[in-house]
Amino acid sequence: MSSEQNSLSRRTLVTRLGAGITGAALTRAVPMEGQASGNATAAPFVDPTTKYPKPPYPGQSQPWPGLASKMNPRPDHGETSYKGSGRLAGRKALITGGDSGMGRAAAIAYAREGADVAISYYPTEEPDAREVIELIKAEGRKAIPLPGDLRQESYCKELVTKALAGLGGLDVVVSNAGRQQQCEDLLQLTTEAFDATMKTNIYAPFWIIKTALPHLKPGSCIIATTSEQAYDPAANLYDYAQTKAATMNFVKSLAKQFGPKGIRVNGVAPGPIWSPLQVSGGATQDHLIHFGETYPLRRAGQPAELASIYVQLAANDASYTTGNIYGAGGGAGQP
Amino acid sequence: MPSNPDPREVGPKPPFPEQSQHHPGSVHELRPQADHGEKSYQGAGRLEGRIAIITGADSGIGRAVAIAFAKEGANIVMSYLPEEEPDAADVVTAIKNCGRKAIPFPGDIGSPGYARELVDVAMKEFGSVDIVVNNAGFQMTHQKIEEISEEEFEHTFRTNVFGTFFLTKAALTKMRPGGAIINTASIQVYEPSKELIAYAATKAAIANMTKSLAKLAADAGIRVNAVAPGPVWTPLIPSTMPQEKVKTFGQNSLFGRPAQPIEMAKVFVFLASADASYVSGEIFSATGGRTPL
Repeated sequence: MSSEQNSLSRRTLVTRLGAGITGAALTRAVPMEGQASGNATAAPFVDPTTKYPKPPYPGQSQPWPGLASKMNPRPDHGETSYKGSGRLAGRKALITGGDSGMGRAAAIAYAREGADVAISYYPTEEPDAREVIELIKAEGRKAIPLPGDLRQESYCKELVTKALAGLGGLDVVVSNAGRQQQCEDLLQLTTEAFDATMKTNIYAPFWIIKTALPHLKPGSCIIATTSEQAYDPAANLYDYAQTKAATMNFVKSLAKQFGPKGIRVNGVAPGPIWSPLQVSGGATQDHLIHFGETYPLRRAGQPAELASIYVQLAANDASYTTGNIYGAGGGAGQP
Repeated sequence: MPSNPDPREVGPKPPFPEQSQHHPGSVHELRPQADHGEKSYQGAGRLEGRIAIITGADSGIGRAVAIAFAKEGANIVMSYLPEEEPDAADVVTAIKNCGRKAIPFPGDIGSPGYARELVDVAMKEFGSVDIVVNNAGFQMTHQKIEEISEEEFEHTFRTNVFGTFFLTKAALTKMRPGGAIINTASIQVYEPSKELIAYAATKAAIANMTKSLAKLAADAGIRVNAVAPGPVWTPLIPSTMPQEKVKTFGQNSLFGRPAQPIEMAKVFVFLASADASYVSGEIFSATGGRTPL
C-alpha cells in the first residue's frame, strides 16, 4: 500500500465513522476497502497481499515495553474494522498483554462478540491500555484493567483473583503477554535478561493457569500465544524462541490433562506481526524495516488479522479443537 | 445452545449401534444421525456473496461445509458422485432454504475433464470462483497389505490427491485476489493407522501440497490452507470400517466422542473468510485432543 493510498483509506475511514479512536498523527495501518462489496458488510473481499502496508517500514525504536500508539504505521487491532456477531455472548475472559498487539486485538474482538474482558499489562503501558478499556466499554461490556508485573508470582495470582471478582467468573484465559528482547551474541545475554524472559513467558502462564483452573467450568478454554519461533528459531532469539517451544508443548500436555474435564487448551502461532514487541528491542532495525518481506504474502501481519483466531478458538466454533496450534504465518505455514 | 457448551457433550458418544453400509454410504442410514448444521448452525454474513465449489458436498464434512457456507451467504457449486444423488438433493434443498443458490453437478473428481467442467459451471452460473473446498475423499480399511489391490490404491490417490490437484489447477487461474482454497487433510497425516495405508499417504500428500500451493498462490493473493479432522461421524465410517471400530468410534478422543461434521465446517468457514487474511499454508487441526507434531 502506498502512503497515498494509506492516507486515502484513513480519510475514508474517518468520514465513515465520524471520529477516529484518537487523533493519530501517525499513519494508521487501516485495512483496504473491500472490492466486491461497496457497502459495509461483514465479509469484505480483499486481496491479502495488499490489505495492509508492506515493507519497507520506517525504522523506529522505543524503550521497552513500547506503545502501539507511538508506532508508525500504527498497528491495526481491529479498532474500526472488527465486527462481532455474538459469538462470545456472556463469556468472561482474561487476556494478558491486552494493551497492545494480539492481546489488544483479541480484547477488542472479544468485547465486540459479547464478552466481558479483563486485561493485564505492564504499568508503563497504561496509555495503550486506556484505549482498550474505552473500546471495550464502548461495546457495553465490562472492562477490568489489571496492571502489574507478570514476573511476580503474587501479581499473577492476584490478577486471576481480581479478574474473577471483577467479571463475576472466568471461562476464557488468554495467556498472551510475552517478553522478546533480541540478542545476537549469547555472551551478551545476562542472567537477568534470561530470567526475565523465562519468568514472563513460562512462569507467568503456569501461575495464572494454576490459579484459574479451580474456577474454570466445563466448556471453558485456555489459549496460549506461541510463535513460529517454536519450530524455526532465529539466531538472535535464543531465550524467547525456547519459551515459545515450551508454550507449544504445554498446550498439548494441558490439553490432555484438562480435556477429560471438558476444558479446551489451544495455541496460536503468529509469524511476523506488527506490534510494540518488535520496536522495543524485539528485533534489529534492519529486520524491522524488512519485517515480513520474505514471507509468501510479502508483508507483516497486523494484530487485527489474528483476532478472529482467538475468537474462533474461544467460541463454540472450536468445540472439537484441543491441543492444537493454529498458525498465522503469512503463507509460510507451520511444519 | 449456551455459548460455552461442554465439548464432551456437543455430540453423541459411543457405543454406537451395529450398522453397515455399502460404499459410499448415505447420511440417512447413519445411526445416530449426524449434525450437518441444518438446524444448529447460524450464519452471520461472513461469506456474503462468495461463490464456492465444494467436492463431496452430499454428505459428511462436505455437506456441513456446504450448509454452513450457504448460511454465511455463499452460493454453492456441489460436486459428488452420481450415486450420491439422494443425499445431494437434501443439501440442494437446505441451501435453497437459506435463500442461496445451489448448483448440483455430479461427477468423478478423479477425472480432469470433470474438474474443468465444475469450474466452467461456476463461471457460467455465477461469474467467479472465490472458494474451492477439496473435500471428496476415498478410504477403505484393510487388515493386511495383500488385501489392497493395485486398483484400489490407485483409486484412493486418484480421488484424494489427483482430484485435489485437478480442481485446484482448473480453478486457480480463474480466482481473484482474496480467494481461498481449503483442502481436507486428516489426523492420519501425523498418526497414520496401519489399516489406512493408502488413505493416510494421500492425506500426507495433500498436507504437503497445501504448503507448496500456498507459496505458489500467494503472489496471486490467494490463500491455501487445510483442515485436519480427527474422528468425524460420517457415512464413510460404517461404509469403510469393521463393526467393532464403528461401535467405539471416537472413544479414544479426549472428549470421548467423534466430532460431528458441523464442528469441522466451522473451521472451514474461518479459513474461507476474510478473517483469515494472514493465514496461508497452514493446517488447522480439530482432532479432539489428538495432538499432531
